[in-house]
Amino acid sequence: MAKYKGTMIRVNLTTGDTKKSTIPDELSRNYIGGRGISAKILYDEVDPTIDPLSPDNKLIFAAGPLTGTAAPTGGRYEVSCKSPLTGTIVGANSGGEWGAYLRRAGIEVIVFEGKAKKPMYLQITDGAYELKSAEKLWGLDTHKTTDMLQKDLGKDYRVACIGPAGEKLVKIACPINDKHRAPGRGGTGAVMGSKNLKAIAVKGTKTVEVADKEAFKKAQDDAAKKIKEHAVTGQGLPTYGTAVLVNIINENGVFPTRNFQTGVFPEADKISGETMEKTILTKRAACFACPIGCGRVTEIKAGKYKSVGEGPEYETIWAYGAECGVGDLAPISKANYLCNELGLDTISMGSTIGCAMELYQRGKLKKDKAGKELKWGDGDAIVELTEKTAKREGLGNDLAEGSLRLAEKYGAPELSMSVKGQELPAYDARGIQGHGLHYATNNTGGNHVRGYMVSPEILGVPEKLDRFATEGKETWVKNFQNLTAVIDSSGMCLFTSFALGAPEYTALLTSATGFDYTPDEIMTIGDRIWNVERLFNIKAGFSSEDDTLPPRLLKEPMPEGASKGYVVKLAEMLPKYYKVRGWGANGEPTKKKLKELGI
Amino acid sequence: MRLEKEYRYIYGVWQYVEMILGELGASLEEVRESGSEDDKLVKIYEAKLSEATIRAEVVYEKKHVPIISKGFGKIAFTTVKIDATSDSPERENEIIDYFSKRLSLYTMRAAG
Repeated sequence: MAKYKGTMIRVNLTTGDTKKSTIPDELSRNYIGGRGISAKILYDEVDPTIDPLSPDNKLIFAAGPLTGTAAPTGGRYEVSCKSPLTGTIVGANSGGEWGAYLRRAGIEVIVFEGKAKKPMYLQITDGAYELKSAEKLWGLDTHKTTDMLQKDLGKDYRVACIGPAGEKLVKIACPINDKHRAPGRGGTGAVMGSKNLKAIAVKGTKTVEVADKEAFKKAQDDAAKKIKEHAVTGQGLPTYGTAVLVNIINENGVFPTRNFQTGVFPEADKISGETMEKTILTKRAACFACPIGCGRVTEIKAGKYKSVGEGPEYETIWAYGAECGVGDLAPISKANYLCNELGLDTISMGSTIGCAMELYQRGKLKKDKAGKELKWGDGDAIVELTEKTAKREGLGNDLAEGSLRLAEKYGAPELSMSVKGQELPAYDARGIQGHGLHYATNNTGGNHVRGYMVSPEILGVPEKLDRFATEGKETWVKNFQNLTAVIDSSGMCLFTSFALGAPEYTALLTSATGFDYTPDEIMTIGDRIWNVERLFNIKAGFSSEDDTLPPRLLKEPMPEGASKGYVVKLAEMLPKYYKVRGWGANGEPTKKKLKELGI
Repeated sequence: MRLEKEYRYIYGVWQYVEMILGELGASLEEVRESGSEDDKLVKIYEAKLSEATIRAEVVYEKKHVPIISKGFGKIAFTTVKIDATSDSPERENEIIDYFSKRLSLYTMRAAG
């Protein structure tokens, strides 16, 4: 049985030099791929104290060993670097087809180093690759860039690129692949822009081989059956998309509204998945090899927001909706389409506008600076400010720095609903204690997809936990964070883990790679990845003081709804979390722990 | 000594019970199955291992649950009951503890 041999290419944008190598077995086995391998490369090769927008930062695009295979949802890849938004390590995951094409081109990992003198793009054609001038692409949005590259190179290329936001070093900018898919969080688009790297166009026509075809087919069939049988992946997500969560989260009183001032949005049903299906949905869409198909193709048929696109996803509906007090799918969808075209993270963008609206509400931000009245529920404002942010025009230049820098500038940093400088997503942790612990401890700042405690605490997957209790949550959070690190490294979509667990991922990874993994070993790998990320952050200057939450979540009881009266009891959970992680009292991995993990 | 757990949504928890019995080196004496996956499926395992016997009962059932079911249709519930019997309470405890830890690992889901 042939073992997995991944290929890495290094592209030095300063010199134009490139180098191809085989990923060492030890690195593949111990870090799998995607997020894991990227974290290890950054930890080994990047000084964590550098300016993230300097040529010293490295930008890594990495697929996993299941990317491009027939594993259900096996089309994912990860973009990693030191984040300009947070100063932490960041890895952002994306679907679509681009990642699968990269592997079909015979490449797993691309490491970009240095900075090009002029705008460039990388063309990859079945393993051959070449840097080319992107001067005529510079300034174009992601859709026009994709169209132009496909016109010049051929329709069988898949494109990941930045838009104007990345070019202007907007700290919440992201690349967009396949026009509608985003490795959204942490400002990786700004790092791409800082390197004068406009795009990566990939054509891949080879078959991705697996080590044991028979065992892989069995594991693949078992996984597909479990995904189909699951109420969320088999029914909820295909029917309503991620927006199926809107009413559920709102009914639980944890749907952050008006910059987390409350957890109940009275107009939630107007922006729910159920309403979306009846109004703007035109058809469903799926990423590479995905049997779930949570993507939504939508259209605003009339009015000033008339337009067509994909999405919005649950998080985006929340960020531009409840977070800004907007109860109308039309401007929310328009702002979402704009984010895809301009290359912006919808969560951070919407939440930063929400922060600006509260700054305005409290008189910290005046009309002359805002450029207009900035009132809750203003659909025009969310659309206009999104465009201005990408162009760094007017107030947009402040929003481009993210909510923490914005709130600091206007004298109220406590109004930034962020952790480590990254905006929190669509769940108010006052009614989901374990999720609050995850928010505070996540290595990339405010983020929901690296330890989704909403599953057991709200949805009851795999078992129903008391969402207001703190006891035992430290172990749940640690295990969720570790397992998620494995999935992000594998090349599969995190949504599969509603239905699949360690045994199923082990079977897929073992048969695909030829490494004889066990469920215990893959959990250890997740732990290893988590600790490497943590070490990077500690060297960058982060400490236990940064494992915290916005004061509002710690001190202001939820004012109404099904979570009324609660705050996040972080102080009860954090010491236990450090202990269960095998860390010291200040949250630093101990020598014993690092030895155990082989770091 | 008994271990009783309820899991939601997950299909195929009985596979994990079978895996754990295998890890313990148990020899299966009898497996009984009734019903169907579409409605209610019951699987009972009788097994022997060193100084102990195990009876494992897995009930998989699909039900409607108010609030959460909106858009999700029926949700799968699985109850697992593990009975370990031995002359040695320590041995019973050891088996139940092992089942508890392995079921926690195998049923863990991390979606987001």
